[in-house]
Amino acid sequence: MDPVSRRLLKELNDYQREAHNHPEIIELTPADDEDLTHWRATIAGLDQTPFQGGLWNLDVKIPHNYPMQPPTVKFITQICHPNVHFKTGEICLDLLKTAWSPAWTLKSTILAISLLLSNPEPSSPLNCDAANLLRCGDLVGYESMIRMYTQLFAMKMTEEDQ
Amino acid sequence: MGRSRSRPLSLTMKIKVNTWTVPAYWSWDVENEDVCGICQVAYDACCPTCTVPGDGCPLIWGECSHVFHMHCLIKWLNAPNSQEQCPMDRTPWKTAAAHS
Repeated sequence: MDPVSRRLLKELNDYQREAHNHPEIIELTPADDEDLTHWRATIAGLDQTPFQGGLWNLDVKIPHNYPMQPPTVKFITQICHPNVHFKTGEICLDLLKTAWSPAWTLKSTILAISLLLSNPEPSSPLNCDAANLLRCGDLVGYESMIRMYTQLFAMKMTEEDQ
Repeated sequence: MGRSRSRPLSLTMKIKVNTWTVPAYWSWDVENEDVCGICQVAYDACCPTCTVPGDGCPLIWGECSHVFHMHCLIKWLNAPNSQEQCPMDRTPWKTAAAHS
């Protein structure tokens, strides 16, 4: 078994042992048994946030020189968030680019994305409309827009999300 | 994960170990953590690209007190996005003087 697969298997075992500590991660698993370099994840919106009640699927691609290079993660389920591209699901998070370190794991990466939901960074937006509402201080408008799109896209799983 | 290694069935033999004597043992002198933060493999085992633990796959200590398999750290420092920083605390990596 190659070194990358060995590390990923270890991450899988570690995550499964501690999954109960991370209720915000609904699922984190290889997409199929034969290919450990492609995973899928599902995260839940936290209570007391406008994302509450939503479930988002993420696609996780692991490069051949992982963990020297970060995984590529994007949203499959559509989401309205200042740091996520509304159409492509691309995520703007320094951890996934310049701030990556091999000390991170897939689990901690997915947890960081889950935290990004309720801690947006409007100064580096991929969704300018959502970011602008925050930047001009319209929290009511921002939260009601998030709630609307959460209900629209993330409250029931469609077949293509699976 | 779906891959099994075929194994000759007739060659298994039961052995009962009555006593064993260890002439020597070794381990790296590392406090606390037991796995390399880069590859997540035990310090006393070798990095993922080596097969034999020991002097051929040594550890390296940083001035920041973090320890890694030397091969893992070199691979990381050569990665374009490492900025030559320690993977654990992002301070510029400085190798510690000989460990006592």
